[in-house]
Amino acid sequence: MNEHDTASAAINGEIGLTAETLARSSSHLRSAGEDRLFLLLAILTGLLSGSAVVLFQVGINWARIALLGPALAPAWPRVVLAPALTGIVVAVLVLHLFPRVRGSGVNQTKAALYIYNGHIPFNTVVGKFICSALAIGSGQSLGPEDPSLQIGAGIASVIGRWLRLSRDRLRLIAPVGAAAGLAAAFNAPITAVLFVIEEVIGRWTVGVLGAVVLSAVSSVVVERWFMGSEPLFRIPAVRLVNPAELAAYAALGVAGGLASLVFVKAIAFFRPRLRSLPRWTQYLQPALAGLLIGLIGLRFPQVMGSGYTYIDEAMHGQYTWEILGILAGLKILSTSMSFVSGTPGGMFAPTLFIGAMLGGAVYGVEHHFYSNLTGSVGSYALVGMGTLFAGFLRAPMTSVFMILEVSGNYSIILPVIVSNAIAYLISRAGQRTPIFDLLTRQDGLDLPSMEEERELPVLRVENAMRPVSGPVLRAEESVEEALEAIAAASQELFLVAVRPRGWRLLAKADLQGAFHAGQRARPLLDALPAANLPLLHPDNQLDLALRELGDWPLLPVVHRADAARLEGTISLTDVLTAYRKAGIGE
Amino acid sequence: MARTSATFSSVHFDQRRSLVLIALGLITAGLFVAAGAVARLYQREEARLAQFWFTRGQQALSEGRAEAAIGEFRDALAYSHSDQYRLRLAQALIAAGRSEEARAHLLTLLDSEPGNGTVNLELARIAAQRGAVGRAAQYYHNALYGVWQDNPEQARRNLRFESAEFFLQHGDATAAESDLIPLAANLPRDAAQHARVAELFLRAGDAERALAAYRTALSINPNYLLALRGAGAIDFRQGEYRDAHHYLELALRGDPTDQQSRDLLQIADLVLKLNPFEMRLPAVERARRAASAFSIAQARLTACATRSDIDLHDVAGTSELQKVYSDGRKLGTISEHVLQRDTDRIVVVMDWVAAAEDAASRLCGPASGADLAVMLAAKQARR
Repeated sequence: MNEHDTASAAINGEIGLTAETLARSSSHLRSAGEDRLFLLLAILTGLLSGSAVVLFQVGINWARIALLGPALAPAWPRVVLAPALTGIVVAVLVLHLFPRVRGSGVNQTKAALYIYNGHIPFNTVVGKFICSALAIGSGQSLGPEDPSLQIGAGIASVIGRWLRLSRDRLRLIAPVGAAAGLAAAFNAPITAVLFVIEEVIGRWTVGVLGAVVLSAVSSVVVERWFMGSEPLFRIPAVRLVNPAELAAYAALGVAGGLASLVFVKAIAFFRPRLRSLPRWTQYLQPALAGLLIGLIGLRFPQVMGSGYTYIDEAMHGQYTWEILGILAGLKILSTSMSFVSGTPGGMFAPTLFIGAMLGGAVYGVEHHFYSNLTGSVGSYALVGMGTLFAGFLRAPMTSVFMILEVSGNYSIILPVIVSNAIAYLISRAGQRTPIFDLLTRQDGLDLPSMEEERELPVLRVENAMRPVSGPVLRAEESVEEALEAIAAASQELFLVAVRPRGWRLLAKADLQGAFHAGQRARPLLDALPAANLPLLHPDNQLDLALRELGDWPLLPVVHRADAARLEGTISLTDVLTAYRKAGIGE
Repeated sequence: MARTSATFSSVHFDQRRSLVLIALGLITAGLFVAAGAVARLYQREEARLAQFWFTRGQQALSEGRAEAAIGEFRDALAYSHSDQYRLRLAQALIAAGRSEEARAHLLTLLDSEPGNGTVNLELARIAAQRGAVGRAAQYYHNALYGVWQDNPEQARRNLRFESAEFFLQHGDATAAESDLIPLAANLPRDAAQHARVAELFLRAGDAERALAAYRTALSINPNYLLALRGAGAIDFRQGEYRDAHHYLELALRGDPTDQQSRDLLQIADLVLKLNPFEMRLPAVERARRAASAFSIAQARLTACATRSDIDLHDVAGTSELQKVYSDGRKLGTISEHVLQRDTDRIVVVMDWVAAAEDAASRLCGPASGADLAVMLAAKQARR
C-alpha cells in the first residue's frame, strides 16, 4: 500500500469514526427526542381529536334536525321513517365502504392496540364519523362517546404512521388518541383518562399517563373553547342528612346491578344470532331496528338518540316513577336492538340514560313508602347513571369520577360509591365476563381482559423465597475463619455481608482455592467479586425478582429498613416453583 | 461508507419528520378553524331555534295555555341551557299546577343564582303551598334582598305585601309587621296601596298604624271609600266618636248602601248626643245627659230582669242584675237637678250605667241603640 492509500484509509477511518460518533449521538438524541416528540404528538392529537369531536357532535345535531326536525317530539312520519331509512343507508355504507366501523369503537381500539400494532385505517375514522352521526342523528338508540373514542384513536394512529413512530410508540399512541376523543365527547378529562387506563391500556406508567393526560386536556380545551364549559347535567346540591339514607341508595345499587345483567344478557344472546344470519339480512337489520325504535318512539320519543335532554328532564321530576321505569326498560330494549343490528354507535350515553331513569324510578318507589327521604329525584337519577356505568360497563373507578365530573357535584360521592360497588358486585356475580370482553370473544378475537388481569393473583418475593439456611459470612472474616464456619454446610454458595449494606456471593470452591493458595489470613473482602448483589425485598413482585436474578444463581432478600438484615434467599428455581403453584402459565 | 449512508439516511428521516410535523401543525390549525366555524354556525342555529320555541312559549303562557307553553319551553331548553328559559319553564309549570316539577328547576337555578329574587319568590310560594312555613319565610327573605332585574322597587313592594299576607295567614303578626312597617314608609302616593297596608296592619292587630295608613291614604284621596270606612271603624273602636262620625258620614255619602258604616255612624251619632263627658258641654247639658243615661240603663236593667224573671227588689238575691240594681238604689235619686248640683256624681252614675249595661248584656244579649251608646260613653270615661 502506498502513502496515498494509507492516508486515504486514515482519512476514511476518521470520517467513519466521526460518522459513527455522530450516529451514536444522534441515536441517543433521537431516543430522548422521541420521548419529547411523543408528548408533543399527544398535544397535537388532543387538539385534532377535540376539533374532530366538535365536528362530530355538530354533525349529529345537524343530522337530528334534518332527519327528525327541531322539536323534541317530532312528527310521527319522521319518527317512524327516519331511523328506518337511515338504517338502510348506514348498512350500505358499513358493508361496502367502511366494514370496520361496526360496534361501539372501544373493542376496535383495543384490537388496534393489541393485534394490529396500533394501526387504525383513516377510512375507519371517516366511516365512523359519517355512519355514527347518521345513525344517532336519525334516532337509533346509541351514543356518541364510544365513536368519539375510536375517532380520536384513529387520528392518533394516522399521526403515528405518518411520523413512522416505533412499533411500541405506535401501539401507545392509539389509546392516547382514544382518551382525547372520549374526553372531548364527555367534556370530562379525568373520566376519559381513567377509562382508557382502566379499560383499554390496563396499566399505569409515567410516560403513558403523561401523554394520555396531555391529550385529554388538550382536547377538552378545544371542546370547551367551542361548546362551552357547562357540565352535562345540572342538579341542585345534595346533602346527605341521615347516613341511613345510604340504604336507599344501596337498593338502587341492587336494582342497577340486576338491570345491568338484563342488558348484558340481551346483547350477548341476540348479537351472535343476528350475525349468523345471511349477509343480505345485514342490509336490513339496522333498518328493522330503526323501525322498531321508531314505533316505540311514537309513544316514548325519549328512547331515541342519545337521550341527554331527557336525562335532564328526568332529573327535574318531569316524569312519574312509572314512566321512568318504563323508559329504563324500553331504552334497554332499543339500545340492544340498535347495537346487535350492527349499527355503529356507542353504549355510554344509553347506559347513562337507563341509569338515570332507573334511579328516578327507584326514588319514586322508595319515596312512596318513606316520604322522609332527603334526596331528590335528581340525586337518585345521577347516582343511577353511575350505577349502570359500573354494573354494565364494569369500570367502577371511572364511574365514580364520571359522575363527579359530569355534574360538578361532589356532595353525591358517598351514595355513588355505595351504589356503584353493589351494582358492580351483582353484575360480576351474574356475568363473569364483562361486556367488552364478551363482544371481542364473540368476534373471535383474544384481547386481554383488563378486569381479568386485575383479578390475577399478584405473586411476590415472599411467596417464592426460602429461609436462610447455612452460615452467613462476613467480609471482615479471614479465609480460614470462613472455611471453619462453612465446614459442616452442604451448599456450594454462601452469602457474604459487606458493610454497610451490601451482599456478595462466594463459592466454596473459590474459598478453598484461596486457602490452598496460602491466603488463609486474607480477609474475604479481597476474595469476593467486585460488585454487590442486587437486593430484593419480600414485598417486591416476583416479576422484578425474575429480572434481577438474570445470571445470578441466588439473590438475598433483605429487610426494607435494614439491608443488613437477611430475610431469606431466592433463586430462579424458587421463582418458577412459585408460578407453577399459582397455576400461572399452565 | 455504510455507517455514513446510515447517518445520512437518519438525517433524511429527521427532515421528513420535521416536514410531517409542520404539515400536522397546519392541518391541526386548519381543522381547529373549521371546527370553530362549524360550531359557530350551529350555535347560531341553536340560538335561533331556542328563541323560536321560547317566543312561542311566552305567547302560549300569556294566552293561558300553560301546558302548551311547557312543551315550547322544554324545546327551547333543549337548545339552550339558558337560565331564563329554565325560569320560564318553571313558571309555566307552576301555572299548570305542576309545582313539584317547577321546584326542581327552581332549585337548579338557585344553585347558580342564589340571589335571584324571582327564583326565591317562586320557591317561597311553592313552599307556602306545601305548608313549609319556615322554608317559605326564608325564601321570602332571600327574595326581598335578592336581585330583581325589572323594576326592583315595585317588585320588592309587591313582595312585602305578599310576604306580610303569608305571615298573617300563619298567625305571625310580628313577622308580618316587620314587612309592613318599611312598606308603609316606602309606598308611593297611591291611596289604594296605603289602604291595603292599613288593612294588613289591622289584621296584625296594630290599630294605631292601620289608622295612620288610612289617614295617609285619605290625605292622597280624601274620598277613598275603603280608607274612610277603615278609619271610621278604627276611630269608633278607639272611642274617637267625633272623628269616626266624620269619616263614616263621608263614607256613607260615597256609598249609601254601606250598611256597616251606617250602623256605626248611627251609634257614633247617639254617643255624641248622649255622652255626658263630651268636651265643652255646659253643666246643665252634662247633668241632663247623665240623668238620661241613668234612665236608659235602668230601663234596660228592668226589662232584662222581667224577661229573665228576676225580682230586682229581692235584697237577698244573688244575681248580678239584682246586685247592680241594689247598687243603683244606693245612689239615691238621680235627676238632672241633683246632678247639676253634684257634678262629681256624674262619674259614679256613669260607672253604674256601664255596670248595668254590662250585666244586662251578659244576661239578655248585646246592647243596641241608645243602650249601646250610653255603655260606650260610660266606658270611654273609664279609659
